[in-house]
Amino acid sequence: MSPTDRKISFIAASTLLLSSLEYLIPKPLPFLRLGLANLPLLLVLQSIDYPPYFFILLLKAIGQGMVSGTLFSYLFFISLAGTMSSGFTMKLLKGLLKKRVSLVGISVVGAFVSNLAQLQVASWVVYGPAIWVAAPLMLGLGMITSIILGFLGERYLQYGSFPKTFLTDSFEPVLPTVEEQTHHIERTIAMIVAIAAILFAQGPIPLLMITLLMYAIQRMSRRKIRLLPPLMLLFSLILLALFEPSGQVIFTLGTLALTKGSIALALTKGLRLIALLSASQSLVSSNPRFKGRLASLLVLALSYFGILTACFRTVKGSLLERVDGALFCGAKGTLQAVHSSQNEQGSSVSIIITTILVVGISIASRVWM
Amino acid sequence: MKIPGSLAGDIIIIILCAVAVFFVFASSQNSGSGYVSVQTPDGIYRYSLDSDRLFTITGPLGDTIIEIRDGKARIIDSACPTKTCTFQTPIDRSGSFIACLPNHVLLTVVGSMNEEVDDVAY
Repeated sequence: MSPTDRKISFIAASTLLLSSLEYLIPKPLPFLRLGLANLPLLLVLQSIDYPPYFFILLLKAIGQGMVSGTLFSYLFFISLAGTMSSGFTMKLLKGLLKKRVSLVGISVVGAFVSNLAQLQVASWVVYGPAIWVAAPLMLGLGMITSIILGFLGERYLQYGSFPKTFLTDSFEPVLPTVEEQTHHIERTIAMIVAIAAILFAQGPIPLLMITLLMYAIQRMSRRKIRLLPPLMLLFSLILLALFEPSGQVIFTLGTLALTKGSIALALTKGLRLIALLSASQSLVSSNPRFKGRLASLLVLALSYFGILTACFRTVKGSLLERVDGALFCGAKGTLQAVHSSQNEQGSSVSIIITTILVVGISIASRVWM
Repeated sequence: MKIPGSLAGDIIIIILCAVAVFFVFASSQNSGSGYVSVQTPDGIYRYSLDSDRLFTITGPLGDTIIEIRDGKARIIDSACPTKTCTFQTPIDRSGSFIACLPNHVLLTVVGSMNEEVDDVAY
C-alpha cells in the first residue's frame, strides 16, 4: 500500500466516522442530512489532485453503503449521485475561484448540487415526479445546514491541529492490521436470488409477506434491525401519494385526496424498497469479496474507520476536539479496532430455506394476481 | 475578527443559490397540471393529469374507457347509444368537463393552472 493509498483510505474513513456521527441525529426524511461527512472533503479540496479525490468520493459513497447496509439497494444510487456530483462541483469551483470564496460558499454550492442530483435520482428510482414537491424544503434546509457546515470547516481549519499535520507531505497514517472476515458465499448467492425475487414480486400483500421474511433473514444474519427508517420511508411515500391521485377517492383534504390506486402503489413501492434494504443488509453481512484496487482501498478504509470509531470513544471534549483527537489517534495507530464478534453467526441452512420461501411467494404473486 | 477577502464571493454564491431555490419553489407551485375528477354512480374517482394512463369506469349501461395522455383527458369509448362524449376534444383546463350522461359519468378538470378562458375574460 503506497502512502497515497493510505492517505486516500484514511480521508475516506474520516468521512465514514462523521457520517456515523450524523446517523445519531434523527431526520424527518430518509435522505435529508446535515452533511457532516462532507467536512473532510471540504478540508482536502485544495491539497489533493483529481484522481485520488475521485477515489475518496467513491470510497465515501461505497463505504457509507457498507456501513449503513444500503449498498445493494437503489438508495445507494441516490447517495452516489449526490456525492459524486457535489464532490466534483466543489473541487471545480475551488479550483476556479481559489481565494475569492471561502468554504462557506463552496459548501452551499455543494449542498445545492447534491440535493438536486439526489432529488432527480430519487424521482427516477422510487418516488416519481411527486418528490419535487419536497424540493424547495430540501434545498432551503440544505442551504442553512451547508452554511453551518462551511463555518465549521473554516473554524476547524483555523483551530484544529490535525489539518496542519495532515496537509504536510510527510504525513502518513500507520497501516492497520486488517482482520480477515469469513465470506459466506452461500448467503451472498441466496441474497442475490432474494433481491431478484423482491424485484419480480407484485402486489402489496405478497410484498408484505416477503418483507417480513427478509427481516427474519436479517435477524438470522445477526444484522441489527431498525424499524424507524422503513416506517419513515412508508410514511413519506404515502404522503407523496396525496399529490398523485389515481383511483377511487377515500377521503379529501382540500385539493388533496387519498385514493385507492395511489395508496396501493405507495405500499407496493415502499414495501419493495424495505424488503430490498433488508436484503442488502444481509448481503453486506455475508462479507462479499471484491477484487481490484478499489476493493483493497475499501478494505483499508473500513479498517481505518473501525480504528477511528474506537479512538473517538476514548477522546473527551467538544465534538470538534473529539474528532480532532480521534484523527490523531487513528493516524498513529495506537489503538486497534474493537471487532464486533461477527463469528457467532446463525446457520446458513435456515437463511437458504427462507430465501426459497421468498422466491415461492414472488412467483405466486405473478401467477395469481 | 478581520473580514476575510472571500466574503463578497460567499455572499454572491449564497444569493445565487437562494434565487435558484426560489425559482424551484415558484415552478413547483405552477407545474401541477391538476387532476381529473370522475363522478360515477359508485363514488368519485380522481386521477393525476401528470402521468399517462388508461382506465375503465363502470356505469349502469356498461364500461366507459377514459384515457389520460400528455396532461389531457378524454373518453375514448363508452357504452352509450350515441357516443357523443367520445367526439369531445380532450380537456386540460381547470373547470372544463366531458359528460357521458346516459352512463352517468362526468369528467371535470380541477386545480390546473390552465384556467378556462371564459373565466379570465369576464
